[in-house]
Amino acid sequence: MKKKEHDIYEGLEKAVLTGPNAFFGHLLRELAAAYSLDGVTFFEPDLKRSLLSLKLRYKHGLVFEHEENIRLDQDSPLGQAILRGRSHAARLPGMHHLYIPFSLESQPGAPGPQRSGVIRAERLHGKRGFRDRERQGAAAMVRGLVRHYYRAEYADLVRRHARGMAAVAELTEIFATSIRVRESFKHILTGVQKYFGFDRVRLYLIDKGANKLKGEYSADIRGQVKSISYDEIPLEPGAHRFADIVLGKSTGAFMDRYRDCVLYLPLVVQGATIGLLIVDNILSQHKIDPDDLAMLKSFAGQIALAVDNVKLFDKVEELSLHDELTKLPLRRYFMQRFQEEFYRAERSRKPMALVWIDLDYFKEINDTYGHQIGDKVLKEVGRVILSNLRKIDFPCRYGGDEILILLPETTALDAKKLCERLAAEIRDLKIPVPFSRNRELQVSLSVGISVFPQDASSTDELLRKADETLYRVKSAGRGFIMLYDEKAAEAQPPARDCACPPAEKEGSPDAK
Amino acid sequence: MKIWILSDYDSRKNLAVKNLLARFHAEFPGHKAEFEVLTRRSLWDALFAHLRDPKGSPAAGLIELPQSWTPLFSKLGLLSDLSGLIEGPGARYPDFVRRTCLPAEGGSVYAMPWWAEIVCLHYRADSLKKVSKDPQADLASWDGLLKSCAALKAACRKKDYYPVENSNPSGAVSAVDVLPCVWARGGDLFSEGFSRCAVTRDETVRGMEDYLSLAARGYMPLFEENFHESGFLVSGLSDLVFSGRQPIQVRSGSRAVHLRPVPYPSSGRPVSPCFVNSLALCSCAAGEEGPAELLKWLLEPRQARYFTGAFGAFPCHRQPLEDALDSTRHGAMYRELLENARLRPGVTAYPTCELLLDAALAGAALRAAERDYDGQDLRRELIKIQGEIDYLLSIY
Repeated sequence: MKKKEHDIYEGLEKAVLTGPNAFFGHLLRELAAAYSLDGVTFFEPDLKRSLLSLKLRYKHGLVFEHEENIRLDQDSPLGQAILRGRSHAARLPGMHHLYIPFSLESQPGAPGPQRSGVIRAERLHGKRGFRDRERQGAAAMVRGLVRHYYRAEYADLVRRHARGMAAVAELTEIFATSIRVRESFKHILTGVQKYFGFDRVRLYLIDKGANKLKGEYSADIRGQVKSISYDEIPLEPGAHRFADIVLGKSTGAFMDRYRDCVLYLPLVVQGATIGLLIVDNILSQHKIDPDDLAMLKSFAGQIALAVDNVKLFDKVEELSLHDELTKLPLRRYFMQRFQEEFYRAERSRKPMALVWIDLDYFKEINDTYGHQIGDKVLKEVGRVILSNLRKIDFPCRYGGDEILILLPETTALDAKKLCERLAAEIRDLKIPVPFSRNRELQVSLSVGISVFPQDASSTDELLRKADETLYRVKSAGRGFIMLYDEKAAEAQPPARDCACPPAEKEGSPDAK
Repeated sequence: MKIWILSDYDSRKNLAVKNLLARFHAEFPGHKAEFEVLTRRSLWDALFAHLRDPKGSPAAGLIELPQSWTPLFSKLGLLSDLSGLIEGPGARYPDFVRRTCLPAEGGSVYAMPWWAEIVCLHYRADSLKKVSKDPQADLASWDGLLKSCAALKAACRKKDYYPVENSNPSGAVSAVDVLPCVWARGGDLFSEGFSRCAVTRDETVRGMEDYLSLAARGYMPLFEENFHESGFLVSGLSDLVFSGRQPIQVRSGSRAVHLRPVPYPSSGRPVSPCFVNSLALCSCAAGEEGPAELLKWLLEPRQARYFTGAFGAFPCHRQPLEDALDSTRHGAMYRELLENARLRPGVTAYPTCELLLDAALAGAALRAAERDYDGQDLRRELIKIQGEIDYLLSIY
C-alpha cells in the first residue's frame, strides 16, 4: 500500500492545483484502482433541498459528471452512511456497495456550513463483497485524501482572487482615464462586462431637461457594444421598473424574482442620481457571485464618477465648439469640417452646396429693440435651421448675424429649395416684442449659394463665391435667395416680399 | 484537442466514445484527442464561461450539444460555420432531421445532427398481460396509461414498486420529460412564430400536470437511489418506462424479458417526440485540423452505426438510420413515428426557457415526492417564467 500511497499523492498535487472537480476525479480513480472497483460515485448533500446530489462517477476507466438527486431516507444505506457517519457495506440487486461518508475540511474561517459527502464504491454481483479490512482501508484512504481538499479549494480561491485583483487594477485605470467624450461609456461598459463576465451590461443616464431615463449603450457577453439610445423611459413613479429604482420606489416582487441574476446599480454623484447601470445574467441564468456583487457595488461610486466626468467633458467640448446662443457649431469647427467634406465631395464626385445667410437688418433690430431681442432672434433662427437639416448637413454661426450651411451631396436646385423652406419658416416666426406696437417681430433672410463643382474648385473659392452672391442679394434689396450663377433679376421675388427695416414694418417702439 | 461529450447518464455511451477515439487515434496518429463528459448544466456553464473569458476558460474544439442549443450559441458566435467543411449536409439526413435541425439550402450550418432518441412508452409484456387484455390499446391514451398504472400498482405487493420508472436520471422531472405530454395536449412552450412564450397556456400547463400526476399518484418514483443504470425495470420494481432508446432486454429471475415499445400515449392528439444531439466545432478551434477531421470521421456511417448501437440510440444519418430500423423488430412503428417526428424548435430563448422550467418542475417534483404538490405553485412559477422568456425574446 505504501507504493500506492506515494502514487496517490504524486497525482494529487496536479489535481489539487486544477480545482475541486479534478480533485474528486483523482480520488475516484485512485480508489477504483486500489480496490479493483467496477464503479465509484461521489455524492454531496444538498442541505437546502434535503437531497443527496450525485456529482461524479467513475466507470469503465472514465471519470464523468453525472446528475442524480436522492432524497435522504434514514432507512436507505446512503441515509445510514450520512446519519451515522460510519462506512458500511450493503448488498443490493446485482451490486455490492460500500458507503464511505466523510467531512470536507474547508479553509479555517471559511464561511458557510461544514461540507461533507459520501463515496459509494461498487462491485458487480459476481465479484466478492467488501470485507471488513477492505472497508477500513478504503475509508482510511478516502479520509486521508479528502484532508487535502481544502488545498484544492484554496487554489480555486487564489485563482478567483487573482482575477479580482486584475479587475480592480484594470477597471480603476479605465475609470480614471474615462474623460474622453462618449467613447468612454463604451470602455466603461466593456470593462465591467469583461471583468465581471455578465451576460449583459446596460447604461442609462438621466436627462433632467426631458425628465427621462435615456438608454446609452449595452455590452453583450462577447463585449460587443451597441447603442440603446432608442430606449427612453419617463422618469415618473410607476412608468417603468427602472424609473422606480432610480426614484427609490421599486416594489419587491420583481426585484425578488431577479435577485440572483440581475443587479440594478443607481449611479450617484454627490448625493444626486445621474443614471442606472444594469447588469444581468438572465440568458445564462447564472447567479451573480456574491463576491462579484460586493466588488461591483464598491465600484459603483467610481463608475458614477467616471460617467459624470465623461458627461462634463462632453459639455465642455460642446461649449468650446458650439455657439451657446444658437447651438450652431462655431467658425473654427466649421472650417475643419468644411475641408473634410470638400475632400469627400472631390473624391466621390458628388455636388456640395455652400449657403451663406445674413439676417436682414439685424443691426437695426439690435439697435431698435435691444440685444435681448436680437439674441432671441438668433436663438430662434438657429433652432429653425437645426430642425430642418439632415444629419450630414453642417451649419455654423460664422460671426454676428451670418450663418453658413454646408450641404453635402446637394445640387444648386435642392439647396435653393431648402433655403426657401428655411426662409419661409423664419419669416413665419413671431418673435415677441412686449414694447412694440405690433408686439411681434418678423425676420427675413438674404441668402447666397455657391455649389461645387460648377462654381468653384477649392474651399476658398466656394466661400468667396457664396459671399459674392450674398453681397449681390443685399445690393439688390435683400430678402431673397440667389444662386451664384443666377442673375439678381431672376432670383428677386416680387417687390412686396422684399425685406424692410424693422422700424418700417413694426413701427417705432412705443414703450421706450 | 479536447472534446466535450454530454453525459446522458449512460456509461455505455462514454465507453463507446472512448473506443471510437482509440480507433480514431489508430487511423490518425497525428491527432491526439481527449474527451470530457459533462452534464447539460455543466456544459451550459462551461460554454458561457468560455464566452465570458475565452482565454481563462478554454472550450473544447469539438462539442456535443442538444440540437435546440444551436441557434443560441451560433448567434453568440461560439460555433463555427460548417458549410465549407461538409459538402451537401442536407443530403445526408432524413426529412425529419433536415426540417428542424438544418437551415434552408445555402444557409450556414453550425451543428451536424449526430444521434436521436424517438421517445416511446416501453412496457413489460409479461406484467401488463396480467392486468390488461390488450396492453397496446390501453397504453395508446394517457387515461389508459393511468388506468394500467392503477391496476399494476394494485396487483403488485412489493413495497418499493412504482409502475412507471422515472426516466429522468436526475431523479426529478424536467422540461424534456413533460414536453411530449404538453404536445399531446396541443400545447407548446412558444406561440406560433415563436414571438411569445406560451408556458402559461392552459393546454401547456395541463400537459405538465399530466406528467406530474404520475408522481403525485405514486406511480413514478422521484429522488430514489440507484435507479439510473440498473434501474427499477431491471430490478423488477417497475413495468413501464418512457425511453427514446431502442428497447432493452431485462431479466426476470433466470429468463430474459423483452420490453415492447408503443407510441407516446395521446391526450387528444398523437405525438412523436424526437430529441436530437448534434456535433459542433467551437469557433475557438477555427482553422485547426484535428477537431474538423474528428467531426467528419465521427459522422461517417460506420462510426455512427457503432456509436448509436452501443447505447441503443438512433443514428441521424439516412443510411445508418435505415439500417438501425431494419434491424429492430419494431422498425415499422418507428418509421411511422419518424414520419411525424416532432423536435424541439430552434429559438434562441429556448434553452433558457428549458432551464427555468427544469428548476420549476424540480421544485414541483420535490413537493410531489413529499406529498405536498400544489398546482397553483407551479402556475405561479410559470407566470414568472413567461415574463422572463418574453423579455429575452424581445432582446435576443
